[in-house]
Amino acid sequence: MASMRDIKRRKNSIQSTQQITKAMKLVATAKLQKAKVQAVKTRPYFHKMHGTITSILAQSGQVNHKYLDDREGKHNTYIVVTSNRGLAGGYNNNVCKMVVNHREEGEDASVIAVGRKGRDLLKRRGFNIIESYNEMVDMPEYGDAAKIGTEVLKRYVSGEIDHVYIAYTAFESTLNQEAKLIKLLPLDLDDFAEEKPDEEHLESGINYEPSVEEVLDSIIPQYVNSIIFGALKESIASEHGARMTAMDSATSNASDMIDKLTLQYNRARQASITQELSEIVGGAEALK
Amino acid sequence: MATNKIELHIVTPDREFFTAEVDALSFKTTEGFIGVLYDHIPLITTLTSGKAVFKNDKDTFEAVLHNGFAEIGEEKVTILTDAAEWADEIDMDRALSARQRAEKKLEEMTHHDEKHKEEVVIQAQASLLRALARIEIAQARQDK
Repeated sequence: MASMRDIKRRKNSIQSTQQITKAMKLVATAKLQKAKVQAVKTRPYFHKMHGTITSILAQSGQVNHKYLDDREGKHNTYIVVTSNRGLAGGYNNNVCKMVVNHREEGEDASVIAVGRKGRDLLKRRGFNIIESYNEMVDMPEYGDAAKIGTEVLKRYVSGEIDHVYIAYTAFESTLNQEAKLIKLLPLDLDDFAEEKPDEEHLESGINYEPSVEEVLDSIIPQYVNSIIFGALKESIASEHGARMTAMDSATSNASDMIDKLTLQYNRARQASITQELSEIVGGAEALK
Repeated sequence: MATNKIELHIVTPDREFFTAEVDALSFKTTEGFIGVLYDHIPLITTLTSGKAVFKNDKDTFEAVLHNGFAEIGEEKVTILTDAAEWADEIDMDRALSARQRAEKKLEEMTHHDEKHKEEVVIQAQASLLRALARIEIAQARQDK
């Protein structure tokens, strides 16, 4: 059995760890509240955007457009949204796992990393990191999303990459976040066909100014940016949610361990007292 | 008249900027200014930086919208824009200095290498447009 001193030292160390995890949980909770509100605020923009594109595509049927054709190539790029800091449970790992599992044999995969953890993890897995943005993770702004979007579109249009995916963590609730991987480019017509467009649009022919192509030219980049922006916002909320949950369970695990160690410590103390007593009694007996 | 109102939604990435029923509105598209009244022909058009005016009964609202697009239906208009500001939210000093910066950048263009030239020009022109739109509307407000 470990000595009393060892047990005591261990207990103290766990106690100070517990203080840290408790503090981190509080901080994450506070940040989560803010991030949650912001994530929710981006949704109306995204939904309206999605609705409009759906109705345009439903209307115009099979338009040939550079953002819509599916190319054969194997150059895939993943935009991976993770955090800069760890201690958030499985948050970063889940996102990276999605990407690793999605990679196929013979695919030429490259990564645009948003967040330091994802960059490091995927680099170790042998992905080619073409770009990494780390500063924007904590307070994403629309301009940041637009920067990534422009970069991706430029590479896509130039033919350097054939498919673009984005991996992020969707914020479902404080306790539940889900890693997701969605296809960004080319736009998948089937994704839009599932939803029924507004009837109002279908019966009345819509006009486009200047023209369908030019409207799509301008709307699709905005759509891409809005997905990236939404993903950034959802991810930061998820990060805080994941960290809060992780730190909460760390704190309660620490409590359990402290309880167990306290019990052990008391037993060891009792044992040593008993031993001392029996030694004294034994010594006294021997003197008789 | 009172029944013929247009349901207007203006949404930016970070907030629902304006939701109201209006009698008329006008804004700047890439093809020029457009005015919309009730029962407009369905139209989807792209926006550029410029003034937008909404009229409801006797009230007039002025704002600046930057890029994006508008979906116009018979009784409903949805504008999705990158950024939107009310006239009184505009920081005149900031807009003026932004104009200066953009103009300077365009002047210095000759020093840039060919490869990045186009990109820089587009960026500078876009920020110049934004600044000009802001200044115009803020000035009009001051003069009132």
